[in-house]
Amino acid sequence: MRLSVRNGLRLRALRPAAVFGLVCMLGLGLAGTARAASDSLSVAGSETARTQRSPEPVKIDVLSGYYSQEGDHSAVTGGTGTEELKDFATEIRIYVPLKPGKSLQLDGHISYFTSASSDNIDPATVSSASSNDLRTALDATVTRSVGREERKEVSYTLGFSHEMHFMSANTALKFAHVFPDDRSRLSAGLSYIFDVWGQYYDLSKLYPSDYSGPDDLPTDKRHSLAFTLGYSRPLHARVLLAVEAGMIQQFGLLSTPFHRIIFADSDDVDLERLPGYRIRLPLSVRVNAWAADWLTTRFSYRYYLDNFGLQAHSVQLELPLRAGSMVTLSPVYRFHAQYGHRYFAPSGGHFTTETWYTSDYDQSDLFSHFAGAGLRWSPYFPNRRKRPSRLAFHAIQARGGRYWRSDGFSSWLVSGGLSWSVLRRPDGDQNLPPQ
Amino acid sequence: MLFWDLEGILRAQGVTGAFRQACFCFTAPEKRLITSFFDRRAGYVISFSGYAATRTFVFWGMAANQSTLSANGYRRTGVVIIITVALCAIALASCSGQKAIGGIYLNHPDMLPGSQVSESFEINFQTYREGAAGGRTGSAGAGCGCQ
Repeated sequence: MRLSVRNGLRLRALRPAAVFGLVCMLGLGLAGTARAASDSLSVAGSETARTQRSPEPVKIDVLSGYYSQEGDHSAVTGGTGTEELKDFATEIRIYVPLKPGKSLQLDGHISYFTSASSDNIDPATVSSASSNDLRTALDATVTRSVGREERKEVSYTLGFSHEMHFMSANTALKFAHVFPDDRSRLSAGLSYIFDVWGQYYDLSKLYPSDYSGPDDLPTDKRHSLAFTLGYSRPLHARVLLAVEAGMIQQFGLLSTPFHRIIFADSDDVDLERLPGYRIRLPLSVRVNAWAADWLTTRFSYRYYLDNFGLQAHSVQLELPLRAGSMVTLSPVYRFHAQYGHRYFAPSGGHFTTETWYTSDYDQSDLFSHFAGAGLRWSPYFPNRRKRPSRLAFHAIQARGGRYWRSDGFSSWLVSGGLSWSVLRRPDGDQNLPPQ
Repeated sequence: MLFWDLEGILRAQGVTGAFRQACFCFTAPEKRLITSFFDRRAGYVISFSGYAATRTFVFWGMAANQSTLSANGYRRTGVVIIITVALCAIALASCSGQKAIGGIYLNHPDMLPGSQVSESFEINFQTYREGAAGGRTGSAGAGCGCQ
């Protein structure tokens, strides 16, 4: 099957089902061939206290970022018009070991953004109420190890997010098994997300003044059910492979109700309309390799397919370069090729005889690039004080990059973060300094 | 699925008829057993993998859609060969012994399989700006997406 991409390039697409099935086979096949290793080092990246018998520290990460974008294909104004947006966000992550084998992780997110396109939701009134918005989100995850050797993990997540015209609640259950080599890991997760539009806002302000109203929308709710299956294992003493496949089913209101459509055969304006059921099939493969003592290569590939006809291939390469034991510089490049779904047409490209339509360029044929770099400094300060502080600075990191798309959209992002550990004394000995 | 396309390779070389083959593999030091049976005419694949040391067994099967098998020709021969070679390379690599020293590399933060914490903002805005969401750490495809 050949798919035509807007800029004239033609790519040959792999048969989606063949690719998806192939990697699922690979993952399952590898699952049955896990082998034991002779060493007893702890598993890479394990989030639990399974292998750490001494008191784990409380870990705190604070990350802030600034994001700015500009483009000329806003879906709010029917596929034309400014997409200028600026977003300032802060994220706080706190990891608290409750007891051996049990932990709690809290993720808080708050972002404030100004959006010129959102301000054009109602051009008659220039709805200043939607020109800026505040989004807040909080997730809590409890993880506990089970089994005689504590090789199994069960985690449960509960969370919500809220913005002016949108509210979400989510819950997830995840199961993971660590194989006896302490490095191979099989995980499966099931999550449910409930979204509802406009419960805390006057919807009439969000709809175009030239449209009669949202009364004919079938629902204002969206349900998303996701199942993920992941497997990671070392291929070599210095190479790690991770495969993750997912299936996400969504039903309800899948369109954005204040995205407008400008027709070719009528002066009327309508809302974006999309089918009420969507199934997404993402599949990702990641290979991390320790190329040299000063270089690690992190490569990932992701394939995506859904029943709207949208397909995508994403490739990312990150090269963490270590300058000494404290500083890491990580240049990163990502390429994304996407074949838009069948309901997309640019402004003025739809006809009133169609049932489903959108002019959201995020769903269109596009190529995108992201190039950036990250810098991480993890100093080591010997704790020589008589009564050492329990708050230990862990790392400072900064990251930035530029993103550009084949339709003229571009954006840039900078972020910075700090990490601390709150050390705890071993049980039963209050005089010992923290570890 | 891989083997159905292998039949395509054979057919492209002039070999016709049903394609049926069984595969059996036992690796002694690891006590690992892998068997597969695939039948092009009936359209199914059955595979069994077992690893004695961990008492881990995987059994899976897959049925084929005959119309899917015969459709689309066999134009992807080159791609199939590449995937076949890649899979063989992965399988052979997994047969090599792993030294204990590997842990100091595999446990390094740069080698963690998931996304880094500092990538969360990138993933967030890429989820908004690209219709192909999911399959990465973070959002599974829900959310407003209207920024």
